Amino acid sequence: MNIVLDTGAVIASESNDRAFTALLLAAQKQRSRILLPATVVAESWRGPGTSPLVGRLLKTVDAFPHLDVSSAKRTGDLLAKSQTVSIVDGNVVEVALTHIPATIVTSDPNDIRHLLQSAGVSFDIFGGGQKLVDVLIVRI
Amino acid sequence: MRKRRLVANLTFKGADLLARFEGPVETIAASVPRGLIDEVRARVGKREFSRFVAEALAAELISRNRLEYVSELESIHGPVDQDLVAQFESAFSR
Repeated sequence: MNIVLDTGAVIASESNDRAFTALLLAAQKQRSRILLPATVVAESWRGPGTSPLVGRLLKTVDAFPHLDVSSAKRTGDLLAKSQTVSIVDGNVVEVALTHIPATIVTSDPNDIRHLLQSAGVSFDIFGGGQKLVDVLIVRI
Repeated sequence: MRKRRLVANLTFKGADLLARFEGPVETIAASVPRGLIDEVRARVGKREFSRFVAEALAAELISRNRLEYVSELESIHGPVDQDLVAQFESAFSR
């Protein structure tokens, strides 16, 4: 399983979110790979003012999928289908779709759900509404 | 003279554990039991030996970083909820 973090998940790492700690430990036990799209890093990183916890979170990430021309086009296609404009949300979903089986960790499940539905992908929601961090499990 | 070359910007499948580490590749010397070397060579071959070692180093480093990070979060927010861990594990194992 590949776990894709969005900006809300990164923010959760610096707030009092015990669900996020549990998620990291579960990922470790299951040998899941944690992916943090570079676009999410751009949205989360604010130079010297960034929380040290975020800096340390980056050291626990397996890979930072970057936005090259191909992934940018796939992201743009998703935004067109969903009629939305958030490049970061679109890229998070694009990264998940190119690394199936994948789980998206997000604090904004409605936008992610809309993108996945627009992409015609079937998915399950795990933990929706119970915690600060909701988890969407993408199944294809 | 130390051998250096640029790290290729590899795609995710199988190799991008290394792509997150920037900088040139360096040749190192390490003391490793011969039996272990033989088993790794038998599995991956000579040409993939360095990549196998580098990926193993990266995976171990990230694993240790993750466990240390969890410990740090626990020291701030309290013990991790083991029931929640089990639920996440169940979700990730599907």
